[in-house]
Amino acid sequence: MTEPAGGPIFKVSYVVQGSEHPGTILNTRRRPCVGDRLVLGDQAFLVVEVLDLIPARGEFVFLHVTLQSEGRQAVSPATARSA
Amino acid sequence: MDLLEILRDVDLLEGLSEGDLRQVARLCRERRFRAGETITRQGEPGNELYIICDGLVEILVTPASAAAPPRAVVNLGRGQLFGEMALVDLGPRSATVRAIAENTLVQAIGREEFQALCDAEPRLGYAVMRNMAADLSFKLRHSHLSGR
Repeated sequence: MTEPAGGPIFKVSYVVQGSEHPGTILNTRRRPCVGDRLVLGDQAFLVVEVLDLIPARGEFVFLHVTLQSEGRQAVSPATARSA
Repeated sequence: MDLLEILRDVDLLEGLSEGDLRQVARLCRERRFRAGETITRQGEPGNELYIICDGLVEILVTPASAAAPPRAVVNLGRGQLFGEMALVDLGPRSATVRAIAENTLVQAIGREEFQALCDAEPRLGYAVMRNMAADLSFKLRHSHLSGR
């Protein structure tokens, strides 16, 4: 998926509910929305909650996103993407 | 994507001018890692910080008790930095960092060169140190939210 250029940059703290997964922090140009599906490493997740974590600073918006695991993704490591 | 474009999306460098970003870009050394490759090891000396441009890394901490296995505390992706603690406190690496996506791309910045730039350009140095503190705070918030 190509990210839009320009506009705000979202620094996201992804937390996986009910799982031993440690969660992920990354920057993305696309604001996550409830119902989105994403792949982090080799695992697929469903976005179930999106909250502003702290006030924005400059172009950066700081979010907390809760994920539900959908299990291992059938992708080779070479095609795994971070968001 | 050119390096300046990548650095504009890194919150460590928020508030820096184009000229400042060019100065930082001159210090960057690109490194690529395969999935499973170790980038830094807990306990070893560290003299670089790293900015992730693409891919994903896993931060593993081995508790003081030698019997306990390493534990993943967070994964970091695009725009994140690691290795900054050794840069600030001069101590050994506090964690082992391993690439978990193929072709994980990072930019490494040497401690001495980076500190020399911050000393020579105090406004740049202030912004970077403020942003580094904010990043450590964000990681702490993530840790609290994830129960780790």
